[in-house]
Amino acid sequence: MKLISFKVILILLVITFSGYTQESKRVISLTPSITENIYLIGAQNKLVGCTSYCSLAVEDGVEQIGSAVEVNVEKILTLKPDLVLTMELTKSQDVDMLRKLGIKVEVIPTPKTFDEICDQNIFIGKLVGNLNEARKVVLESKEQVNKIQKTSKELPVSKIFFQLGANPVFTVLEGTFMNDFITICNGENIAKGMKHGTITREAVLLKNPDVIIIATMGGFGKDERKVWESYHGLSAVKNKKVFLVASETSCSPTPENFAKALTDIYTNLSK
Amino acid sequence: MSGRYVKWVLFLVILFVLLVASIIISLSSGEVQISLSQLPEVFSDKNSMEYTVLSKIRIPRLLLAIGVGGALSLSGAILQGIYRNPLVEPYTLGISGGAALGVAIAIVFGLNILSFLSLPAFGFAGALITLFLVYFLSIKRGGLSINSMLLIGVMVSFVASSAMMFLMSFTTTDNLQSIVFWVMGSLDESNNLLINISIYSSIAGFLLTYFFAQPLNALRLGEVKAKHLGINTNVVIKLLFFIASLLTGIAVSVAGVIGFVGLVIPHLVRLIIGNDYRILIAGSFFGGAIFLILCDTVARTIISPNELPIGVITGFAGGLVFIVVLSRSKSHFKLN
Repeated sequence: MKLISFKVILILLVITFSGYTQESKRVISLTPSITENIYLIGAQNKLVGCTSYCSLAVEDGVEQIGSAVEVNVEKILTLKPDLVLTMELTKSQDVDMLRKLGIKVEVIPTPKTFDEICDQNIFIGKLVGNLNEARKVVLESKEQVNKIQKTSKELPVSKIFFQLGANPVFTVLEGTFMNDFITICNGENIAKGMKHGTITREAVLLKNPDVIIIATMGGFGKDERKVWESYHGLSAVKNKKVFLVASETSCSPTPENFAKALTDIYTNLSK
Repeated sequence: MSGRYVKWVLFLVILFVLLVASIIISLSSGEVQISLSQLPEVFSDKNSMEYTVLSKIRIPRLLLAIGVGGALSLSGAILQGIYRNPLVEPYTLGISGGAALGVAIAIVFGLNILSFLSLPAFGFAGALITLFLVYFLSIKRGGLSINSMLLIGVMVSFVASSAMMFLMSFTTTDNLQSIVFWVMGSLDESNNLLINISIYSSIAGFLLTYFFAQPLNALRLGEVKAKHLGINTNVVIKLLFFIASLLTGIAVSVAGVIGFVGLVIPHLVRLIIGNDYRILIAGSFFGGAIFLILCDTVARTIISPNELPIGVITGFAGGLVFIVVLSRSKSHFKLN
């Protein structure tokens, strides 16, 4: 008897849930990388609001509802969205407020691996009803990534320092999707075992990386490359393997961006 | 009379010893092990990693610590003297706020990609603009009004920090991070030109201030009494204000906002050796340099291979040391 009622409840749950996850038709994105994912799967026609930093959407004339940290809850409300997508940067008060107002909000965590980036793309595809497109995008990117992973096994194992920020110097840590760039290219992150991203220049010198990858960081990258290249004893400098990779692709987690940045890095590594 | 001079000379000798000691500690501590006995060997092999570490990382940071620490502390001593107010520090007058705003503008509008000099240049421009704002807004009939200068400085500082928050509220997270870390301050500067500017300007400021040691002593009695003693207070205050502001402006635009040095060090020196500006100027300059060298050494070693912002260390160390010294000193603290 008990088992039957449990099954009934389960079925009811499934029904309500499948009703709940009906495709959203009016979507607002509060994070540039989510907006990019939406464009990638061709769901931009459902996008009714974005931040002022979602350059693609802003060009298309999508309503801007705020910046990276500040969002205008009232403006979101007037756009009558049935789904708001955001990452952890949005203030929790704003998220709570939107939920109280009866808007479905999905907070997508920062992806920790390339696979998570793909899962999130598919998740967004499901939510907005472009699942097939999302699957296609993910498949293509995964193929590209797998190909590089295979061929880079022939590269020698190299110690890699991936710099994310200057002043203080910031490194890519393990357990982030950017660490996958290093491991997929048969590299070893010099920040292995570190918990916090700030790193002294001396520590980098001491670990003597064979390769230094620098995210462009809106111009800071070029200066940083000059600084590293002035340390002639570094093996990365001797190998002439100090290079830049665009922040726009490497730091913005979508399957396509990841594959693009990885291809860039691989090309530089295998030169 | 002569007893006092002996005390002063002794104090300077101690400071000098401390300075040398802190230089040695700073040069020999860090991720890469370099001991004092290794130094000649290191300097003979210019291709070694130890040489790179010393010549490209530790020595530039050391010089910058001396320049910035000396400048901020000296500037604090001067400003506390002309305003006769123990709470005044280099940043009270809005100079750091203006510099920070200039840097924030450069970062938010992407002007920092033009050249490695654009951030310091914008910082310095911001500092200069606030300086002139404060100066011209405080000119009243019959000269500068010290009190309104102080109030206007504080207000300009608030306006600048609001403007900066306004900029930060609509910029990207990348820029946000750049601004926040710039504001926290750092001595990680690889450009020799900036380091030279910082150290030479602070030494020049130090020597220049010595010409005003006696006027500063007279000002301790108050503007009116100083006038009666034959000091042209109007001119002296203006000149000192400009020296202090330029010192601060250069320090801030090169190293970001490093707090507490300009407030705590002059007071500590006062507690130890007294209020006479003839010794206070040197004491503050060298004290600030020693303090910042040691703080920077701690910042880059305490959680290595991670690095702490130097402002965290100066705030903790400066604040705590000052509280302890002030509460244990028997004599009543006074500025004049």
